[in-house]
Amino acid sequence: MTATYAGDYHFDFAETEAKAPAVTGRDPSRLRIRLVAIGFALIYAVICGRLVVLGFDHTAASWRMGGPAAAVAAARPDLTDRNGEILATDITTASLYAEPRNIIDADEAAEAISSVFPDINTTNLRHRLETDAGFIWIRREITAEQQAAIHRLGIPGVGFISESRRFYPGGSTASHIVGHVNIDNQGIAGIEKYIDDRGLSDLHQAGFALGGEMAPVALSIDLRVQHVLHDELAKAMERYQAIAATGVVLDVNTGEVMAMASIPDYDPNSPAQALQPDRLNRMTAGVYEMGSVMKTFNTAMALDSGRVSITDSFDASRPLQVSRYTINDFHGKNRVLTVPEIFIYSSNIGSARMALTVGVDGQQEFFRRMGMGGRIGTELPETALPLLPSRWTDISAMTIAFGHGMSVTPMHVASGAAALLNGGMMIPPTFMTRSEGEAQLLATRVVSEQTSDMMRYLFRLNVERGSGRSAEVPGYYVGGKTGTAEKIENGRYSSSLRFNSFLAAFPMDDPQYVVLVVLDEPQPERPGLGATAGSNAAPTVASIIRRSAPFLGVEPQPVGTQPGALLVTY
Amino acid sequence: MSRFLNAGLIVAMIGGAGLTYNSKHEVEGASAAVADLRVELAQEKDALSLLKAEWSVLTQPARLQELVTLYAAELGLEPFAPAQLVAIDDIPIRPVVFGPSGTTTAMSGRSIDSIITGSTP
Repeated sequence: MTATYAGDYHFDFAETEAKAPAVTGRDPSRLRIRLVAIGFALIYAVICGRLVVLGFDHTAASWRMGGPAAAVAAARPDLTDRNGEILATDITTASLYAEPRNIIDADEAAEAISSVFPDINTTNLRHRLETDAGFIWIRREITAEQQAAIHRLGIPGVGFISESRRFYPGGSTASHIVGHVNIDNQGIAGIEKYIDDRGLSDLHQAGFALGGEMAPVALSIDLRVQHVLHDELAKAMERYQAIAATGVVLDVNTGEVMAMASIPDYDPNSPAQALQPDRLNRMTAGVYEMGSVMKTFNTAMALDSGRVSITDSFDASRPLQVSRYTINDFHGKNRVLTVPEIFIYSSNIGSARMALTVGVDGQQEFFRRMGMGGRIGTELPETALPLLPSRWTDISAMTIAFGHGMSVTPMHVASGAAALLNGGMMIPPTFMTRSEGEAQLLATRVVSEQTSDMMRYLFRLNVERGSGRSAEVPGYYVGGKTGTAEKIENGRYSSSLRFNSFLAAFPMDDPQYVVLVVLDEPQPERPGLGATAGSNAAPTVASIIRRSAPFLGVEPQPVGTQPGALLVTY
Repeated sequence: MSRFLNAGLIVAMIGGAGLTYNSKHEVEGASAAVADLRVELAQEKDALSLLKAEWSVLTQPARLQELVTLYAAELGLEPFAPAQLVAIDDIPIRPVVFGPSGTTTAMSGRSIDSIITGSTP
């Protein structure tokens, strides 16, 4: 540019202006000036255009994505119960790392660090700091006080990375439902794993899911009911010295699990405990010979087949001999029993005879219809496959009639019972919130409404007059079936090791919730007392219903001698 | 004429440069403020989630039950019976009780009629 001007050294604006009228416009210097002016104008136009482009561009903020923090700070959505109470949340903690390459005095650094963490292995740490590595973790997830202490020490070559850590405020209350995460915040059990399997881990891989804007995931459980169940199971386990206890509260109309617990359990904040073999979730991941509660299904099967009516009678006067097996009754009445009597006296002989009336094929088909042919279809990853007899013979049919010879999970029993009592619609149980409309779309009819009505009647009858009397809660019309199964010890059924359960529903005039409680190897409360399900599992169910019904929104019916009378004090 | 134009252009240029510098300075200040606010926001969010977690620990049913059992005797707390639960519509109107001197305890000096119907004499 300067070269061009050098050539027009003598040129003067003022002179040109003055002579303007006289000039014809053929002046070469004028042409050059125009060219230069056009050149400048073009350059400015390009600059302006670029400015406008940059002004509309929003990718400038993209530097915030990625980076080293992305590798560890895997944010997860909060888990809440159905009322928005937090079950699991992310809290930000700092993790301490070192860059050994930049550490001047490894000895001094190791000494200083171990003054804050007395439990750290100083020798080991010094060896690690003496290496030429670029990055090592010293301690993950330290507290704010520890962070401040390290910061005050001012050791060169160490630093902090903020990580989000999973925190479960309820501790063990809902451990088997929410599950837990590993140190990298990946879900490895329960609903946490379910969320990951549903695509959260893909988001992490791609570097998204860093912001805290993920919507909380609402579970179907009610924290208050969950606590009541957990508390009552823990108390029952202690009172009856059982080795394990498990229970569930299930909404019969939507299939939502309102509460589920299996004790012994673990604290998801220190998930190492979960690895102990006795901490498994017995509700969905353990299969058991459930015993007499299965007579519920046997009776429903017989009534629904049309071959047995509620007024029929079966001979239970003497033990049933089939080849080398003898089927006997626990509380033998030694007479002909009607179908309701077989149910409330829990007669094995009568149940076996009812099963034979329906036949092996009918029974097999019925149990598959009740969802007991496969895993329970729910969100929890921990589910077990039922154990069905490999050859389904008449003997199998008879033992299955009273709950032996076939192992299912307690959750199979609860969800099957919900179908029998809600009018005959099988709805897969869920741990996510679900409306009745959504449930109806998933529901399949398994038994007729008449069968369901009769089952409601039998359930209530068993609490009014049968083995479930101690489950009664005034005002809530509890109905239920006891189950006292003998456990197999050294290859034969033991009469001292029991597996007790109580399958209940309330209120029986319009069942809303199914409650199932299972106690593994309960002992008599005091020597001399019995240890049947009616004396331990049933009162546990009663306590759970008494405490949780107000939370579940079930209104008690007025009780007393005068119906409708109300005792009021001001 | 062109002198004035040139002078004007120079003034405009200097003015423009000044404006540009000024706005650049302002933008720098503003973006620093935005960065500060972002950091503050992130800290507040962390604090919020920590407080939420703490609240949830403090309101755990298990903890509340412990406290209730601890202070049950002192505060006279008892679990309620299902019979104590009724709908508000089922509760009758509070009856009027006559005191010893012929006045009503519910609202002395007014007739029963005025209490029940709300009419004023």
